[in-house]
Amino acid sequence: MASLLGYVVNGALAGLLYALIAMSFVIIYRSARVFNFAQGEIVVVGAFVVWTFMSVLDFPWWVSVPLALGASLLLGLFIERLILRPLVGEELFAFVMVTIGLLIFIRGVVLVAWGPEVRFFPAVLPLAAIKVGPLVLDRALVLGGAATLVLAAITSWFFNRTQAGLEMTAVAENHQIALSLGISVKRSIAIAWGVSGVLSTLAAIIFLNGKGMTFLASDIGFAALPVALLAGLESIGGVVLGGLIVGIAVGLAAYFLDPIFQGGVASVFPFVIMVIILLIRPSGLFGWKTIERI
Amino acid sequence: MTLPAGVHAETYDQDRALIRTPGQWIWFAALLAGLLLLPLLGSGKAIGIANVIGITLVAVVGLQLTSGFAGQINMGQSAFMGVGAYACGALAVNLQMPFWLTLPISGISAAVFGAVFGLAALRIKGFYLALTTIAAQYIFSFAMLKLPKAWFGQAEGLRLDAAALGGYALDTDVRIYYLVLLVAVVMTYGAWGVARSRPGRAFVAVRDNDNAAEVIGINVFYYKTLAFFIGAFYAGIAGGLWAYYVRYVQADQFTLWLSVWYIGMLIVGGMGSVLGAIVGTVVIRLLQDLITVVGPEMVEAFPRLGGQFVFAAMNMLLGGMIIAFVIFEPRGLVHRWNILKESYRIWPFPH
Amino acid sequence: MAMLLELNNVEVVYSDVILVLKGINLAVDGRQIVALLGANGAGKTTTLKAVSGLLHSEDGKVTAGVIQFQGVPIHHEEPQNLVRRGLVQVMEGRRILPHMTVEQNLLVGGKVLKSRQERLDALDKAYGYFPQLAKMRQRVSGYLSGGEQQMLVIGRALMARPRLILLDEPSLGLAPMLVTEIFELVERLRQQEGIAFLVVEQNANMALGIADHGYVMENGRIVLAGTGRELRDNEDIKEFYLGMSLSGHGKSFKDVKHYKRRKRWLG
Repeated sequence: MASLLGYVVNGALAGLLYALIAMSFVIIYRSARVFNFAQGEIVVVGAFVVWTFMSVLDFPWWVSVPLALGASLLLGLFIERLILRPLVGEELFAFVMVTIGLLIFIRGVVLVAWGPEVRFFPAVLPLAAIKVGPLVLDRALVLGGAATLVLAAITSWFFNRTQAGLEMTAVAENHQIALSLGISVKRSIAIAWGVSGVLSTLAAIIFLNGKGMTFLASDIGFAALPVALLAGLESIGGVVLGGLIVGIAVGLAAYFLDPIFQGGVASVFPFVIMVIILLIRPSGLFGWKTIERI
Repeated sequence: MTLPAGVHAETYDQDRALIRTPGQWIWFAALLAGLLLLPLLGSGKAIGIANVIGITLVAVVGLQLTSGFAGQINMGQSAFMGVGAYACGALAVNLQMPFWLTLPISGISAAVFGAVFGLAALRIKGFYLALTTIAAQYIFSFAMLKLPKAWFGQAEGLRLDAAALGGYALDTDVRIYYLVLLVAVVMTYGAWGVARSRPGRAFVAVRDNDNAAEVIGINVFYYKTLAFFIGAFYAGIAGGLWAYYVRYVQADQFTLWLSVWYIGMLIVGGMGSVLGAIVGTVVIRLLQDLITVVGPEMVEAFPRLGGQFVFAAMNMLLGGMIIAFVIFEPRGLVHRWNILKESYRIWPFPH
Repeated sequence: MAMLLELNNVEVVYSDVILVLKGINLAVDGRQIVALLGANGAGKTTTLKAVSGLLHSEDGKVTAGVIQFQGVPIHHEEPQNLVRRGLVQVMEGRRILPHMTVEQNLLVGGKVLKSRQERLDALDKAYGYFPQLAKMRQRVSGYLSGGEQQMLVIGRALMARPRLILLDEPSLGLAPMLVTEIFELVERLRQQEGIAFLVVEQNANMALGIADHGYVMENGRIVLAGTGRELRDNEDIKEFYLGMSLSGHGKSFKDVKHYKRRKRWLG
């Protein structure tokens, strides 16, 4: 039974990590109406930048991390300026395809810049595990989980209660209407991209703390998808709940189904959940339902 | 399609015909001749490239029907192709069925699998449907690795003997080429047929506004499912051809990345027309081959680029092309070509 | 003395190839209500979008002529700067932000105001003009009725403290009683807030009822201009836009056997 509890709690913590990445999806989607398929790749770039600063250039963590966060902020702004801005006013499909193109492109660049070898990501957060009763927990995940909760609360308050947040929400609803109200659509979108770049690097630090990594780490972006969907792509608060639900569900599934299928359940089960969610409630638990007047 | 002066139709059949002028017949005949004589004109390498283009073409044309005509973004075409390939392989290896049976069956099995996602389209729209198809990819990979080894090979995959007609084995590139060519031509012609027919028009209506389509009496649910069914059928056939060409089927051959490449081909070629699918496939595949040739040379000249450069460069190329096309020419090369023709015709006027 | 809004020989092209406005001349003075009439496709909405800067998102450009607001050329300005100067467009089709509440919609409209207090004051004023909206502050605006949504978008425009409101087809899809209410509201806003209006309308009757000046557009050109009274009395307007035959009563289809009049402005 301790083992089941272990799966559940670890699942929940992993879920919170996915929630952090999913928040990046949601922030961009909410503001720019863009689903950023390339989010996973941005996580990887952030990770490699931290690795470069710390392991290659030997900077201490309190220099490397802020530098890397700054770099990912710039990367986000750069992508927005160069690639997303020319598409303002286009339809959704164009944005979807552009971020997919970006995904592929960045992967290529990462390979050329850093190669395919496994690198060892430095332990920015302390490695010592935390013991809670019979459970052994990854300290990084616990700290990360707490950070996720705090960040979610802040961003949720921002989007629903502040003037700037309302304006960004207006941009998410409809670019043209936002323009007609005097809102700078470009600025809102730029902010969204910058912020999610930062969040992605944070997620990378937590996720890869002290572990080996390659360019394939970007797959975490796709694993965070079901969480974003379960929450509904417009809901930040929902993302935390979604993360917990998906994380626990995956934990349970792995516990019960791994013996039957000889492993591998944890990587596919999030997608099974996603399909079920989409079938039952396409806009997610908290997302914006399509309000159509016929 | 604008036609030269003096060309008009007097019957419905004439109006719907693909080839309308003597000039077009000549071009068409020349193309056919070129394709049939390719083994004589080209080297072994050219045939290999042609085979891959032909197989990809079938899958991408099918994708065009689902995504370009019916507007259902499908990021799982590669998984559907995989279903077809595995069906073909499993039947060939375990039951020794001949290719002229396994190919249609692979098409059908993929079609059924695809239709399941069409069913999902009843509830799930647009972009969320695309995500569902992504899920299909992962579920497919997982399933293929866990299904009974005897039938599906699991991680080791399936090995096939060459397709055979009686005693005549299609075991060289050239022999398979003619099968691929025949299938590709038939399927492409079929695609044009679908596009110009009632289902084709229904697809376009569903794409443009499914509520309005429903209101004027089009059974949107039926047509969405049909779009996936047909598109996946094409993918299944392509998968079967692939199985006989490479003679080895394994889940890792059919990844999400491949599905993305297919969508990329549609974007470059132009969504919404069969010709767009053809153009996109040919252009991207040729560029890929170009990189495979040029890549190693560049790595020799610049060792810093590393051994993975060819793979990385292909990614950068495809990603860059998709981005560039979406920003600058979202309707693809076919649209650009049409504009060029139009400007040529009305020159020196600007519009 | 410069008019509040002036268009001089404005040409607009879409996608570099489609010429939609072919030399428009039009003016609105402070506290005036000007009506812009015409059939579908005449270019009325394009004219409004050329003024408010929303052409760019539809791949349109002002290729000739000048648009001046308060004496300053604005035809290459970005929409957000124009709102700040007091020029607000209310787009056709009741473009609310459907997933946001009524109050959130209004607050977003007050984006250009500097302080929270100013926004709250503007909010109170808006609720003053639209008591029905005050009762539905927290309602998600996508579920409001057509008339309520139209009030919401006008209220939202009010929040920006405009000098000029470009009103695009306010009567579209509304019941006649509501249409009367909306137009009475426009007149009240003109009198009490000093806001000028450029109203695009298909409902010529209502529009000419409150307009000081009017223009009639067809195929991208202004074909008739005059004061409200002149237009109301004009025979062609009566025939083609107000549905009255020579006798002054509603047209009977018995009279339409063959066309006795053609539009004098064609030629």
